[in-house]
Amino acid sequence: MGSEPTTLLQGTLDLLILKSLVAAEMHGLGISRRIQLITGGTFVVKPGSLFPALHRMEEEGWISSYWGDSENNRRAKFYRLTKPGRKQLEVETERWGRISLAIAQALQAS
Amino acid sequence: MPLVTKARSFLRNIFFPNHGEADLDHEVQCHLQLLTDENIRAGMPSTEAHRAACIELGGAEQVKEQVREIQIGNWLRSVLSDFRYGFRQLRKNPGFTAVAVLTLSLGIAVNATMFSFVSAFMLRHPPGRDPKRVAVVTSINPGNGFLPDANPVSIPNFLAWREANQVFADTAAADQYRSVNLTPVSQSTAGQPQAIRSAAVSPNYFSVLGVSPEFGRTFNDQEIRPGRNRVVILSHELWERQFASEASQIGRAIRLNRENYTVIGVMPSSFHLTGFIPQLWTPLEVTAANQTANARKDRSLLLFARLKPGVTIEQARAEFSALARRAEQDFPEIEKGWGAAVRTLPDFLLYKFGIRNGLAVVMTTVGFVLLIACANVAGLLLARAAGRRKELAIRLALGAGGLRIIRQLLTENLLIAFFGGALGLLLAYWGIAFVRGNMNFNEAMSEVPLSLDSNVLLFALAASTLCALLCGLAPALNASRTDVNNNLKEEGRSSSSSHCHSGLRTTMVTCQIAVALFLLVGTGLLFRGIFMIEHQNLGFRADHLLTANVVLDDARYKDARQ
Repeated sequence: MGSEPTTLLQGTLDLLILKSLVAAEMHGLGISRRIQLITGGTFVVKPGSLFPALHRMEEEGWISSYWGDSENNRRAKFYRLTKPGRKQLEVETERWGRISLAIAQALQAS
Repeated sequence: MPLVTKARSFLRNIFFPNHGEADLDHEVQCHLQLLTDENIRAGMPSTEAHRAACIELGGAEQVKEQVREIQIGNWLRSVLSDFRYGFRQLRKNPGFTAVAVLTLSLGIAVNATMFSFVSAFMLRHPPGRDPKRVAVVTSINPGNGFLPDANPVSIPNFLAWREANQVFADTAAADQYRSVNLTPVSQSTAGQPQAIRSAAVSPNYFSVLGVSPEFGRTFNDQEIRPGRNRVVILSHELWERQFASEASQIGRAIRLNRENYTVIGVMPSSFHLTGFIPQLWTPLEVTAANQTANARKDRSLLLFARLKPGVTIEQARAEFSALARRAEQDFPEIEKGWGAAVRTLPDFLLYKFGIRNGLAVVMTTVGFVLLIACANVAGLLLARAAGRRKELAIRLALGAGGLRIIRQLLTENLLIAFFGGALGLLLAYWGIAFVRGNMNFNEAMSEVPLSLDSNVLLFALAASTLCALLCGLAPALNASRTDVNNNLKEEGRSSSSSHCHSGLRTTMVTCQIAVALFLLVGTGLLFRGIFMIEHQNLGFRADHLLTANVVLDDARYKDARQ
């Protein structure tokens, strides 16, 4: 499964973005590379999926943005988690746990 | 709070889109730069790094468009921008816009003008409570004539059927075609007696219809007896016109047919049954003379009755057919072949006026005129579409969906149609005034309230929208199937793909000419018919002749001999 998340897994993409922002505030590319890292290379999020997700989550109020300088002194838009965002991360984590448990159960049944 | 954040984003996206656009563009460009740096660090040469970054980004415009699609209020924003763009396009082509708008406005104007008739006759509710539950009983004349089953009923039949029927909660009767002489009471005002149309009604007439007087009261059961029946109820117009709306008139006497009648009430101005124009109401007197077998020949009453709850009009119809048959059996010489017809009040009023067929013909005709206008404008749009192929090809190449293009073209058509509709309504306002001014060949017709009311407005709106859809669908569907490569390669306007266009245009022009000819022939025949009626040979010279009706009042001419 080396392809990017589809819209069906929109909740999953949100979860990954929120999780990667817990560690540190990052710009778009940084978030993309971090997701690639923490999923062991399984998920490569293209800009076409990342940017809409980031803007949608910003409109929902889970992340906020500001302009800053990157490592090479390049201008970039950085994102950080908000308090509602941290709550949403817990909600999404718990939901993902339930889903994966349910699927595991379903696969074990004969 | 998520709702506040969302609302703020929504408003910002609609009203201040430019700021967000600049920010988004900057963000995407910076992202591209970061990708390029990453590639350079990995060892690519700089041009190669930049190209690889562009490929990984996948196209800056596409990414930005995907972000726009996700933003709150995007749909509204794109609709608004469609309208702005359409408006600009129309302004750039003033000649085309003027012709299209004018054509549609003429079509909509005639339709709206004629629809004022439909609104006045068919969409207006008769006065009173729940008029659909009021039934009107009439006789069916066995000989033919105009409206054979709207003949009045005789007094003996009224009395018999009122007692015998099971379907009506209350039955009233009205003689709607009487006439009285009104003499102004005070000597100072111009004292010429006038002939006033009046109606004689049973005491429960107003309660059956469910109307209350504006002032005073209606008749009670005592007042149909001779000696007690010198009471009268005035219509609102008569009270205004003749008695200057003086409240003191109620309770005073007026002179009708050389006798004093006491005014006991005034009806509201909203009380008006289409086609009936009595200015005042008197009680319907029923004497012994009215109940003889001979009196059956004198048919003068229309019966108005309220259906019992749960009874349908078909049940009433069946019951009265049976009652009419019984009358036929009991009085075969007089009632032979006469039946009874029952209709609901709205149906009866429309039928009695006799205008339904005329309305259908007129509305069909103006409908065809509108179709011609639409075909005209559609042809103009097709011709213009041929010249916009390059623009559309570029938009398709940039990633616009076929649906988006159709929507944008339909928006332009909606703009044309709504301007056409607005101008059409203005023309219709004058048209309705003109028609109303000329439709006064009899009193019943001049009572009909023809005006540009809310029904006509809604109709014009619906007609405009329909025009937009009709005119725009064919060119829009054509446009979305544009062959992108061929159109971008061609220089200027060549005629290779207008081949299929010209076939469609030829068909439409042919159809327009056919329908226009059909309408012209029909109108010509109509005019010839009217001309022939007006100039037919009557057998005598009709110029310089007047006709007059003399109403003999009962006081001076007491019996047939005098």
